[in-house]
Amino acid sequence: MGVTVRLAQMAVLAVLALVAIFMWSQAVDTAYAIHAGIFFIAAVLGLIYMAKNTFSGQAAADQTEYMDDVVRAGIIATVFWGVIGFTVGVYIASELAFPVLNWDFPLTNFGRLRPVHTSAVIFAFGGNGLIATSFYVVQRTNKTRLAFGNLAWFVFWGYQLFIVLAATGYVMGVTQGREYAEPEWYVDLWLTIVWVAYFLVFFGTLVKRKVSHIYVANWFYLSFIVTIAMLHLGNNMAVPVSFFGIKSYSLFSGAPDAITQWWYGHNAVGFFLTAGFLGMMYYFVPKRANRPVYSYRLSIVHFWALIFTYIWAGPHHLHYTALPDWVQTLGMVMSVILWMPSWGGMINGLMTLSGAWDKLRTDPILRMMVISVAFYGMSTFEGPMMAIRSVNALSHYTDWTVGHVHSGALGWVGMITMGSVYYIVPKLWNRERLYSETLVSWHFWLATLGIVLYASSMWVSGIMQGLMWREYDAQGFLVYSFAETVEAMHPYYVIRALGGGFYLVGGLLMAFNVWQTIKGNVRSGEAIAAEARA
Amino acid sequence: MTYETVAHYAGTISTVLFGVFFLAVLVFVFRPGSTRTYEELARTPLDDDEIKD
Repeated sequence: MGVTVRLAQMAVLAVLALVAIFMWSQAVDTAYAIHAGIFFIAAVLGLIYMAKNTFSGQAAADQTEYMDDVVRAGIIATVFWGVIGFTVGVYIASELAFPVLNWDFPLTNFGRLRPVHTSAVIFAFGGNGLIATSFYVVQRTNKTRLAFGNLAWFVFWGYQLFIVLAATGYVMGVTQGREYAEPEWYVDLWLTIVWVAYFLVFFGTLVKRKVSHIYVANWFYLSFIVTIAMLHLGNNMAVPVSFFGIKSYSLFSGAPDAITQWWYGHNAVGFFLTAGFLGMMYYFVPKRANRPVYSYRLSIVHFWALIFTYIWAGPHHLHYTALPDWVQTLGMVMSVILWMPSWGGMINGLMTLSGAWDKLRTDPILRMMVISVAFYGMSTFEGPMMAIRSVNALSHYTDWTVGHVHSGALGWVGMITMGSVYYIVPKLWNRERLYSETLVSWHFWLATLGIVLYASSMWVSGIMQGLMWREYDAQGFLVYSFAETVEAMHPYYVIRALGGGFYLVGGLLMAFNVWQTIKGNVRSGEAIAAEARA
Repeated sequence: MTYETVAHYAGTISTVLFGVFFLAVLVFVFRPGSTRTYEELARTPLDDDEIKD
């Protein structure tokens, strides 16, 4: 790349650093000043890094090779944030079981740590996994290098900055109070810039593809990128009180505000946690099983059916509220219809193994991918059921919802990502095999057992909680006070924290395994065992 | 025309459009003679290790 281009990029970073200084000098509150400081440090670090590269006479990138550096960085970030996110999750689960762990200190309060957990697992772990694998898949299925040179690096580092700004904001109490979209207006603006760059890299790569047909995994990734952009802009329409302070107010109020938030919230599930990871499934499952997709026709029908239906399901989060009845009914009906495309996709993923089922006995990585698809099937049956209004009357606001979300998140999203990480790491670092497949097997069982403990304890706890809330006596008085339900749930909270702990230990094993593989080690004895099997 | 009538027709028309689009996708996907094409496309991920110049 030309030095002129480099200098222009550095000029942009320098301007960003100056803007950050200006923001800091005008800040009306401490949190805003700290964020301006973080922004400044990020810009200066970028400047130093680019200056070193520009003047060290580094050779121009080889256009005949895939751009995999940024994918390697993304996979490391995925594993890193995964461990952080699981750890915070186990901690806040323990806070619920043993409230003393809140320490009566704002920074460690459940209310502030919970968005740290949700954002770390969804956006940092899942998001980095999606960005990294989408860059890997789009290059290979279109047989071309990523478009726009180092813009992919800007996407990677810009996204990490977004994560740091979001997480530091939460512990300082900076939040706009919209679930799964807690960052305030200025962090939202930054994410918008990063996301547009992400779209340009991905779409630009599709445009310069060397094959005629765009493989279906890319359709899912692209729908994830485009829809998240739309949801992010729609849900975060807010007016800041000052351009130099954290606080903003939503443009909407009342029921329209609530439905905007859940239009966002449920489609974040649909297009971030589902469509994006289906892209992962449609590439990595065939690859690992070394079998073609079961039915390519079904994958196309799956795609259109899923995106047409998901977008309407949001209102099921607002049953029995001020939301108009017809909107609630629409959300419920669409949620039930959604069961079909979801299971179509699940069948397509599972049946891709036809002719290779025996590999499940010997390949723990494939086993991980398959159980993830099985959990996808389970939670996409549970979800439509819970969206039915009369079922929702029992399940809503209880732990059942929490259990449902986690069987989807830990089971589907987590397992497909970790399976893909195990597949991709030896490829990316040119290793013959993973450090240890036995450890993958351990990870598989720890994670599966963890999810079973988590989901089943939350079923019991949630249904009990729902039944206790609605219990009337003969005179029409409520039988239980709120505190009594909390007391009754204590044992299940302990089991839940234990399940989360299992899942975290699995994540730590993965981090160790990936680290050793990158270093080029193979656990003694495993290479011989693998040869003996083959 | 009031807002209500426009909203009513817009809802009906877009439902029909989406339905027709989806049916068209089905017809297109199951068009005669496409089986071989789709069988080849299903193998896309298996053949992707080399970049094309």
